[in-house]
Amino acid sequence: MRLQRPLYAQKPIEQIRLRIVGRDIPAGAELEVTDVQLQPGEEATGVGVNVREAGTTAGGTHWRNGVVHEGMEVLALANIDRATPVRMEVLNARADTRIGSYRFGTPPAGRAHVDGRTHSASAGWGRPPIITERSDLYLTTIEAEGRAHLRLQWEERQP
Amino acid sequence: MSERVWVWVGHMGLGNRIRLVLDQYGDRLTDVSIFGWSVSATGELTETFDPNQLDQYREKWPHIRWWGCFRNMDDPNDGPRAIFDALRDSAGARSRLADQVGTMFDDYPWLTGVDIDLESGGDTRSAESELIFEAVVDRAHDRGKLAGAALPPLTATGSVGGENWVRYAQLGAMLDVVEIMSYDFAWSGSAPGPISPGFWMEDVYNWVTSQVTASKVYMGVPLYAYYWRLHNYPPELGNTWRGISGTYYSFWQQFTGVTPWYSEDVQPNAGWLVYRDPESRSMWGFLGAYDWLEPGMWEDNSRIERDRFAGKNYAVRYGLPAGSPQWSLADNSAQESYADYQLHPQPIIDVNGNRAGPFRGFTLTLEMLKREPVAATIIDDYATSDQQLGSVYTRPDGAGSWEHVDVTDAYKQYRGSGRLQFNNGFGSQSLYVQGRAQFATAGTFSVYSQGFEAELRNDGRLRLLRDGTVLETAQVASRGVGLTAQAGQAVLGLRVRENSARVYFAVSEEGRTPNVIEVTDTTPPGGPTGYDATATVWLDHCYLGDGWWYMPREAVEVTVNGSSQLMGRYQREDVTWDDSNRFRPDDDIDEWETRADQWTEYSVLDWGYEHWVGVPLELGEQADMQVVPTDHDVWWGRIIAFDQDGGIIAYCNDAQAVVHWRSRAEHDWGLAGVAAWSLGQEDVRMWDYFAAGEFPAENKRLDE
Repeated sequence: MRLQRPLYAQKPIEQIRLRIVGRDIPAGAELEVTDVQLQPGEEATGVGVNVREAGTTAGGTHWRNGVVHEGMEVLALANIDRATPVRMEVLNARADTRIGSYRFGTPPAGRAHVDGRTHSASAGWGRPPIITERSDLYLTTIEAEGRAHLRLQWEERQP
Repeated sequence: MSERVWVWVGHMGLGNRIRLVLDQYGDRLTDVSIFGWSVSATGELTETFDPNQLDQYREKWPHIRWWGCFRNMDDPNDGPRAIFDALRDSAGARSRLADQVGTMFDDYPWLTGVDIDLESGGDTRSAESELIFEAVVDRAHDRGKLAGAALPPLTATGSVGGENWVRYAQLGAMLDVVEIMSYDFAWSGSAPGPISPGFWMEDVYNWVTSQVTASKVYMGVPLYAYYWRLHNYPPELGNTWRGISGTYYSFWQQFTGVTPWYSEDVQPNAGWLVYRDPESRSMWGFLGAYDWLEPGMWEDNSRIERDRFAGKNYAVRYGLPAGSPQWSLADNSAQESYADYQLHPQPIIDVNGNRAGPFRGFTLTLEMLKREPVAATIIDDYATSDQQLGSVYTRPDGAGSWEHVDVTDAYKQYRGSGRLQFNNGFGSQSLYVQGRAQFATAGTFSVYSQGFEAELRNDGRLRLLRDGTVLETAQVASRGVGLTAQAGQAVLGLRVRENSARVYFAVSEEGRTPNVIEVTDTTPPGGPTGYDATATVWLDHCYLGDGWWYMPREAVEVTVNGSSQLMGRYQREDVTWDDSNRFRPDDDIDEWETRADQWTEYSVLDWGYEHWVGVPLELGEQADMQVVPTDHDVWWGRIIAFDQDGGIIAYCNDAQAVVHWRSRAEHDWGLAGVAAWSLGQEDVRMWDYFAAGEFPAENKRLDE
């Protein structure tokens, strides 16, 4: 069996002390606790295992780095609990550049950004990417003559 | 949708995630094979996993078929091949194995059947292998049980892993189900790539379904990852191979930066982008790559070609097919050829939000497909034309004895019998002559030079003759007669030097053409050079080169910010170079004897990686880079600026990749379903994806 309950806090939590108590256990039976899991949000992630159940840390800001070439399908592994907007920055973009649904145009000095968190952009038009919950980020359309460097940034959102 | 989903369980124990899937997603599973028995050379089965641990899941999901799987690779005393051979050799061991399978059914009567996993069987002994299967299958059927087997993946041209013992038609006829282990095309010891590349999956299942009823077949799909270290040569890192395996979540943790490969005092901890391979649908990515270019992404070039083969881009300078003037050695040195690139390693943002870069510096890694050196070219003729046939050769047995045939627009042959002789005397020059041919009729095909003749008969008898006297005879692979064009080919070579004659044979020109006969205490009597046949043969590649001088096809010179490095050159001993990039051994030996005992990539036929550790690149600074193709015919692929302390390429299937192949298993080939190796390694979202948001039948219509 899998027991769960949300814990509500009025201020930032620095430490949690957990005590597990078994009650009304029939004579001869024993209770075995196999794992204890703490995760943000009201709803436990249920049976679809979140990567944090695989022993990873949660929360905070994420960054991804790398190079993209014209025509590549690009992914950013995420599998987060809540949808979240993304900041994209391109460097060394030499020509008309489109990543996902955002068109940077030809960035001055090869560099431009769009920030879905603050609704701001240095150039271009379109939609900045959003990572949907339980999903990775897919940026399926890339137009960039040659290659560009791409940096992504997002915050894991609390409920 | 193919409904059947087969998984193996048992080799990783029963971890929490495995239990979770068995408990919560049992409705998505149809077959669970318990990887729980090891077979020994005497046919004894040893239980390695207690099947009773699965009782609660059997009770919860009565629709699941449970299989008892035994395998030959975990015996403490004997390796898989020894066990395989022992079972082939001994009727007693096979009988014992059948009895043991019967006992397995006695102990676990709820098993649907037995699942046979015999591997490392080699390329022969098919019929004896089938005796093992027959013994097990018959016993299962006698007991009212089914029999299945995990079979190695083969295409119409055979196995990539030395498993040509497999005959799908025979095995498929006797087995109730077969799970094709179509993974590990790329593995720890091979070149990096998709674990199940798309083109290969297509070849495998086209072949399997031509031999076995499709509804018996499960498509094997990998649920795991491979990582290959590409920032230095394995011996420098203390490794045998470049690769190492992991689970989907290991891949996730590497590419998100949650659990870095190397500790934070070695390199910054960062998250990296991932890509999806268009054909295999596998995810892949680089760790620690600060810039990388495809080979065709040059700023400028001279005399460089670029193209794509088997899903990979490459650049190359091709060699000249003949010398000038004719019959001299072709000059295949680089001369004015080059490709100019710009590299620009950019700082990354690490997991703490700080700009970061390599702590010590960069390694420039160049993907290269190196080839064996060839005899320095005099004539390299792919049966080019009728005009070529008339000018380069003579036909001493009559003008009609050989003719030029356009088999297709792009593929041509010289067809005939009798002598086809190079139209030049060559004096006493040492020569290497090679022909690639197939037998249209039974008989012999020969190459000859300086009074020696290498004669191949279609049944595989190979002889070296001097002035018509047989010096030595060997047996090689027999060649088919009267097959379609390009089938059953033989590559036959003869090298004649002042005191030696050597015969070479292979069934294709890929890789090395091995020496089969060597006579070193003989002198050439002299005479013309060419081809001869008592059979009608179809000759599609004629090659004439020097007997001593070789042209390497392995190295390019790379210049970055004014510094240069020759990348790819083998270290050779006791050779002499000329000023046209040719070399010769100082002693009368084969070329490969000059470079024995050095580390090479696992397969010389595959992409390898050359490294320039400490290349003068600066983080955030654009650098000019030039590649000069010192050697011809060597391909270069991606150009990668890695952190010199850690650079990796990795491939992994996620839920989407598995769903893709599951759909194709049903749609393209009508297979029974998929067989996934193995439960516990997967992207667990896969089980949700398998249900794919399907509505219950009563409200399935969307248009109301």
